[in-house]
Parts: sequence; structure tokens; C-alpha cells
Amino acid sequence: MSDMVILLVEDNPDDEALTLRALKKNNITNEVIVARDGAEALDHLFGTGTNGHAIRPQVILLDLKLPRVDGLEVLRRIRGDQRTKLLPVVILTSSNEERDRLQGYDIGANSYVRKPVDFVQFTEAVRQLGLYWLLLNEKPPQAVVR
Amino acid sequence: MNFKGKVVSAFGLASAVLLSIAVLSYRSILQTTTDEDWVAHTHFVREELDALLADLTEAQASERSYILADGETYSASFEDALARVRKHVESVRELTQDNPHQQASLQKLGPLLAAREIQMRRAITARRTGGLNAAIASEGSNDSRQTMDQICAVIAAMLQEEGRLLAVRATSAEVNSRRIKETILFGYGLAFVFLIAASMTIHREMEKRRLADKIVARRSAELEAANNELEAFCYSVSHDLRTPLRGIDGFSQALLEDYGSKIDSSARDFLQRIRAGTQRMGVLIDDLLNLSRFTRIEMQRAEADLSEIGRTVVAELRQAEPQRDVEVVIAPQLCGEGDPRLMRVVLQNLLANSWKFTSKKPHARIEFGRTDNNGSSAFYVKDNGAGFDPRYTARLFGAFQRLHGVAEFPGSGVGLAMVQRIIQRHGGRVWAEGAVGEGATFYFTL
Repeated sequence: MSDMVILLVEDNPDDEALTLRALKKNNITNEVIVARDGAEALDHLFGTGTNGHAIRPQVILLDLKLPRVDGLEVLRRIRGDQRTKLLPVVILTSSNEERDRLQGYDIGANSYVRKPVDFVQFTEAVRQLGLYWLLLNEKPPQAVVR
Repeated sequence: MNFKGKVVSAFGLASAVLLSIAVLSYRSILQTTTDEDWVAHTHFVREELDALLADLTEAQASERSYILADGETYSASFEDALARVRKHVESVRELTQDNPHQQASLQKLGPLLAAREIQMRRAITARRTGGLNAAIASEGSNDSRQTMDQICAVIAAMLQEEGRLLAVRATSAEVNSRRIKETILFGYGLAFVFLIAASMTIHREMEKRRLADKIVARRSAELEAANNELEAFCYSVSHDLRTPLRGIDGFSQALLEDYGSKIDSSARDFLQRIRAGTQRMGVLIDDLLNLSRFTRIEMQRAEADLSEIGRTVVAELRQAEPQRDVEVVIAPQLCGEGDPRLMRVVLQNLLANSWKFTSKKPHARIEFGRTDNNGSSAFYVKDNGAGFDPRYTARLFGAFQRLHGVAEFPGSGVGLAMVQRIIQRHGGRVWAEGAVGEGATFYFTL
């Protein structure tokens, strides 16, 4: 089920481990590709990485504060490219600065979720995200996502 | 004197000086014209007197020719000359009307001229009736000579008087013109000094303001830099301080879930405490950020419906703790000038406080209304909760200051600090009254 891949863009190994754990706890078994910075995320999406294979994830979970290329820039590139502009992107971040939220939506984020400190709440947030983006939400037709 | 006073008085003095010069110059020019008129007048009088003497001499010459030549032809020119003499006398009388000295001389001249005319006519009659010798005797008499000498003397005196007047008037004209020159020069000099003083004052003031502007600009830039730094700092705090907390909480929870059965209850309790601590830290960070955010946020003043905001806040509180039975009274139509977002933060904090501190009362009551405070109106939030020791009122509004233990009533101690900052930004005042066990009342003005 290569078209049900989740792209997790997260530089913090703890957050990565916790997110993966939360997904597993909620029985979300989709393949999760982890990019540890913005550039790596773009490599995966545009096939510019070492394996040269471009992926089209069901949903992208995007942190904002990232090494090399930051989250907002990644989102800007995704929205600026015909091949990726319709991909669902959920910003998943620690920041709840108004500025970040506004900019995120402005560039075209589909959703903005603040990671709670409380792991129980975090797990619940991941469960709802998975439910919505992997089960409820219908992807745009392939013809458009060339 | 202040800057404006200095400039106004300098310009005022300069204007006054210039105006005075204008008035003085005008008057002096009028005076000069008058002086010149008088000089011309004097010349005219002198000409008339000269002509008078000349015509009298001509009359005498005609008379003597008549005597010697016995010619009737001279009779006409004699009469003509006499008529001209009379005319000149009248002219001089008119011209010197204002001069009593000359009028007095004319008083003397009139009878003398009349006498001389009689003498001449007598000689002519003598020639006609008594012959040449009789006429010569008449004309050559001492009387005739004396009269003519007296006439000449009077006219000479009058000429001298006019000469004196001419000198006086010429001097006056000269003095006057010199005075004009001096006045104008001195006045312009004075005005120039005042204008220089004014421009120097203006220049100094401009220099001062330019410096002040520079200082203000520099301070603004510094302030903005400081603000930007603070914002960057808050952003880091918001993002970076929360991330490790999530790790601590998450892995503690993972331990509980995966290994909970392999550790005893005391170890599980420790893990729960770790989680509680991190979550509390998370709340503190959020409160700290909010405190900073609501202090920096740009205010948008509007008419805020505080009653409506209060009702919304209470509805939220009820929803969060539906099991609680609290009587809330909100006065209708409480309106205030303020930023509605910030007013919401104020009421959220005050009402949540009352909600929290009445949690141990069987009949909790919260009231939000308006009261009169020394003539101006103040809003208040009153409850019958735990209250506080009035000795510590001053500490109520300090950030992270708490008058109750966390175990008794949870909280970070930021709420009232935030309320105070928001109210202060609105130019208002916030204060509290209360006693232990007897509830608290928080007042604020906008």
C-alpha cells in the first residue's frame, strides 16, 4: 500500500519515537517515512534523494522548526510544485505562536496541530489525525496530482 | 523665557522698530517738504521786497524826469510804478501774515510810502504851477530825502529778517534730513540685531530638536531591537522548552504502559509524579508565554460588551466542570472601552479564579457588576470563596506569586499579573479586597 504512506518530518528523535509509538498504539500500521530535516523531506517528495524515488504520501506531518530547510519553506515548495501542491499537509509543532499559525495557513497548510506536553493527549491527537487523514479523507484524483 | 516667547518677542521688537522707522521717516519727509516750502516762501518774499524797492525807485525816476523835462509822458509811467509798489506791499503783507515782526515793519512802511507819494505828487504840482525851481525846492527838501532813507532802511531790515528766517529754515531742513538718516540707520541696525537674535534662537532650537529626534530615533530602534529579541526568545521558549518536556512525559507514560506490571506501586507513583511535574512545567511555560504575549500584543480599542464576554467565560467554566453548582450573577449591559480580546483574558482570569477559589464552598456565588468608586465607575468580580489575607494584597498581582499551596488550589500565579498588565495598558487600575474565608472582590477600571 505504497499510496498510504505517511511522511513524518521531525528532527527530534524523542518526538519521532513518541509519534511512532502513538501511531502504533492507535493501530495505524501504515508505512511511515521519517525525514529528519526539511531538505530530506523535499528529497523524498521530489525524488532527488539517494534512492531517487519520489513518494506521494497520504498525509505529511510537518514540524516547523527544522535544520537546513525549515517547515514553512518545505510547505511553500510543496504548494509551489504541480506534482505536490494538492498533498495534505498537517503542521505538527510545539509552537502556538499566532505568527506561525497564520503563516502556516497562509501558505496552504490543511491543518495545524500543536503537540501537547501530556503524552496521553498527544496520543489522542495522533489518533484523531490518523482517523481523519488516513480513513475519512479522500485523496485528490491522481489525474490532477501528476 | 521659552523658545516661542523668545522668537515672538524678537520678531515683535524688530517689527516695532521697522514700523517706528516708517512713521518717523514719513513725518520727517513731510517736515522736509514743509521746510523746503518755507525756504521757497522766504525767497519769494525777498523778491517781492526787491521789486518793491525797484518800482519805488522807478516811480521816483519818473517823477524827477517829469520835473526836469516837464513831459506829460512820464506821468503815466509814474502812476504805473506806484500801482506796482502798492501791489508788492499787499503781496508782502499776505506772504508774511504769520510773522508779527515783518507785519510791524509793514506797519511802519505803509505811512512812509504814503508820505513819499505825497511828497512826489507835491513836487509835480509845484512844477506845474510854480515852475522848475519850486519843484526842485520841493523835491530836494530834507523831508523827501529822509522819507526815502527811512523806506530803504525798513526794507533792508525786512530783507535781513527774511535772510535770518532763511538761515533758520535751511538749518532746520538740514538737521531734519540728518535726523532721518540717523534714525533709519540706527533703526535698521536695531531691527537687524533683533532678527539675528531671533534666527540664532531658532537655529539653536532646531539644533536641539534635531538632537532630540536623533535620540528618540535611536531609542526607538533600541526598543524595537529589544522587542524583537524578546519575541525571538519567547519563540524559542515556546518551542524548545516544551520539546524535552514532551519526551519526559511521553517516555514516563511509555514506562507505565509497557513495564507497569513489572514495577511496584511506589515506582509507578514516582513515574506519575514525573508526569505531573512535566505537565505543570508545560502549563507554566504556556502561562509565561501568555503573560509576555498579552503585554506585547497590539491593542485594538473598541466598545467591549463585558457582560457578554463574562457569560461566555462562565459557560466555558460550567462546561469544564459540569458537576459544580455555582450561582453566577452578571449585571446586564456592562460596556467598556477596551480591546475585546484582552478584556476576555481579564474576565477569563478573574472569573476562573473565583470559580476555583469557591470550589470548597457548598453554596458558591460569583458576581460580576459595576459599582461606584469615588465618583468614577469600577467593574468588580466578587465571590464568597477562600478569600485571602489582606496583609498580602500587594503580592497578589506579582507574577508567579501565590497565596495558596498548589495542593489546595492549583495554578501558576500568572493570572492576576496578566490581568494587572492588561488593565495598566488600558490606562486603568486594578485592586482587591478580601479576608480569609470570606471571599474576595477584584475591582478594575478602564
